[in-house]
Amino acid sequence: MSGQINPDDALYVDMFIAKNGQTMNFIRSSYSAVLGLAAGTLGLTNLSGFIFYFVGSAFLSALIFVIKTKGKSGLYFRKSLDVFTEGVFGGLFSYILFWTLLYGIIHVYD
Amino acid sequence: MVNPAKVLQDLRASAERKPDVVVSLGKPLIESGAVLKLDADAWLVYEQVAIAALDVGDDGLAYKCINALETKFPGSARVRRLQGMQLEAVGKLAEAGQIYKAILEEDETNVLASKRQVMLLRAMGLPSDAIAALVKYLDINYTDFEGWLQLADLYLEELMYSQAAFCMEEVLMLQPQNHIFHLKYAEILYTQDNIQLALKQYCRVVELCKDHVRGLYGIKLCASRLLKATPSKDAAATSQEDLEAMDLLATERLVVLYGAPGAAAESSKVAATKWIETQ
Amino acid sequence: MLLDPAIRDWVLIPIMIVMVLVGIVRHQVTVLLNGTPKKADLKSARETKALQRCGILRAHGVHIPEHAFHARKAYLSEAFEKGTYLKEPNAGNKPRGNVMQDPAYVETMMDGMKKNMMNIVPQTVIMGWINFFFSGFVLVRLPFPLTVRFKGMLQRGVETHDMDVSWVSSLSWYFLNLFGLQSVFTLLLGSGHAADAMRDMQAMSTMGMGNAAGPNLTPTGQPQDMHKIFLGEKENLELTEHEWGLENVETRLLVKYGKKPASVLLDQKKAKIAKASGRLATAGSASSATVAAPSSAAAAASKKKGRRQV
Repeated sequence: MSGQINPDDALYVDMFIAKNGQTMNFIRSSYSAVLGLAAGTLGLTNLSGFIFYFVGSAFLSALIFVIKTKGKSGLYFRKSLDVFTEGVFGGLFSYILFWTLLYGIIHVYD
Repeated sequence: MVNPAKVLQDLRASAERKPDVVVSLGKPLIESGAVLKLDADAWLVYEQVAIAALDVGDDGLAYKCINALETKFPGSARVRRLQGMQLEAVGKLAEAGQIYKAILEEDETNVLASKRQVMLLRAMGLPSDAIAALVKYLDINYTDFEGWLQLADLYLEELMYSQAAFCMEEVLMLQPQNHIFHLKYAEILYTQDNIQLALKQYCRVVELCKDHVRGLYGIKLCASRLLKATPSKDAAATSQEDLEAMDLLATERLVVLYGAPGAAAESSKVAATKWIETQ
Repeated sequence: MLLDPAIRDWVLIPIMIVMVLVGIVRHQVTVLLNGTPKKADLKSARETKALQRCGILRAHGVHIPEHAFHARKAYLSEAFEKGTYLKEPNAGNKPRGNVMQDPAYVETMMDGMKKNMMNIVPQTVIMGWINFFFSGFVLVRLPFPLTVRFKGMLQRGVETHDMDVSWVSSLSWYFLNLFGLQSVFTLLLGSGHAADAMRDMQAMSTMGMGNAAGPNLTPTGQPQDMHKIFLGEKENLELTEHEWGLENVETRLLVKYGKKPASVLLDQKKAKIAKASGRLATAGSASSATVAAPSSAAAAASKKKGRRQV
């Protein structure tokens, strides 16, 4: 607890920040599952799969940044970079699951 | 075409009180029976429309909603509270009080009923009883800032300013980011003749909400009064130089704000300029 | 190496579908069990709210003036000391009876048990099912390589030494699903759903202790002595120094409107720190003037650090 009032603190309503975070999580969850399906279908392996995920996530973040927040993500998140980081690693598990599933179904069985 | 159910849902989520809108959207929904297609949401809509109907005085609609709720949830405390409110609306205050009392006997933690009871006492013209009940309620439901606001209002009606100031301090701790509450606190402080503190609070108002006119008026009032008074020896007090700067700033912003085309009616513009000149 | 498609059709996909369905059913059952919230007791609500009040005062005290803060601090300290907010203000010295005879305690315990069971039973059943029918199956291959370290984790139930690490056994597929299906549940059930695998893991690890996590219970399962908590909170409160957020609000406002350069604020901050550390230094080493200079610098540094950590 710092003794000073940070003038910017007052500008954020916790409830809305939480709601935005939830929305981001929802988007990321669905998106990482779809990305996983795509990666598995394409038969990506090793590093290329992970690169695909991070590039895909960055693309999604950029889309949200440009279209939904109109370049002013500071209005919706405490830090404007949050739009690029929030939920990226949370989605990784589902990505791996769906990637493995589709890769297995298509490329491992005869 | 907006979806009325969606608008009602948004209004419920934001807890805005717009009874006219709610009734105009909800009445056709309920009368055509379309509300039943909303499944679980239907009962929330009934409750919302019932309260709004009481607000605008459409007793028939309220009766219909509450009856529907009563048949769905017989004996529910939430529905009985609505019945109590309906009795209040037609002026049967004592009977409403009976209902609230019965609810509280079953479940002493029922927040809605205890709130209604306070307001009932207020409506009956017993402010001191209302204050006592509200204090008891806030002792338990400490985090209800609306309760504290209500208590501040009650104290203000009784001209008990220091108690009202105390309530506003609680509100400020619970909702520090709302400039309206800071403004109210500042005005109470000014009334108590605590000009130095009031100035700081007015500054906070303008800091939170840029060019807030009432805040600027407050700054102007406080600064000019402090400038006229003998400079305080207190180290924490605002320096003379700062006071002059604040006075100037407030005047400048007010002139700019009133000077903007279409910002205010001509008469109020004249009145404002006159007031600024006399200060 | 290729796998028989029958494994895919009759093992790999069924396991996944079963896990999704079980997750959904569990969510619904949890909602059902939570259907009737327990009636809160007025006095225990008051207890917790009093603690909350103290917390809010400590966290948001910056927003109210000095005199208001001190009045509240004094009031709460006294109230906590005396136990005004306790459920039973005079029960302080009474010896505690057997907790198992306290109906409230037993009820919270049963509640926790019920929730724990809801978490554990389905998972155990699925694991048992997989172990019974599919133990030793190799289901799928991960599309990326892993180090040998993961062998034990991914090939549980398959005792071959020279198989590549990226092959996944049936039990490990189960674990992969347990974590990976989070997003699916979020999509199907909305956030805040009850089919949370992380919670399952927690439930399993605490099951050994056999206790329920109620609000007023310590990890050992004993109901807490609220008076002690209040006294602790009182100490916390007394250690809290009040620093008013509006002390320099005029300057901040003038800076905001561009009437003063922003550097004024920084100067003020520095002056304040210097003043505070000066006070510390004079108190600490009033006699030796030579030590005063370095120690004041150290004090300033420590003050800065404290600011960030507290």
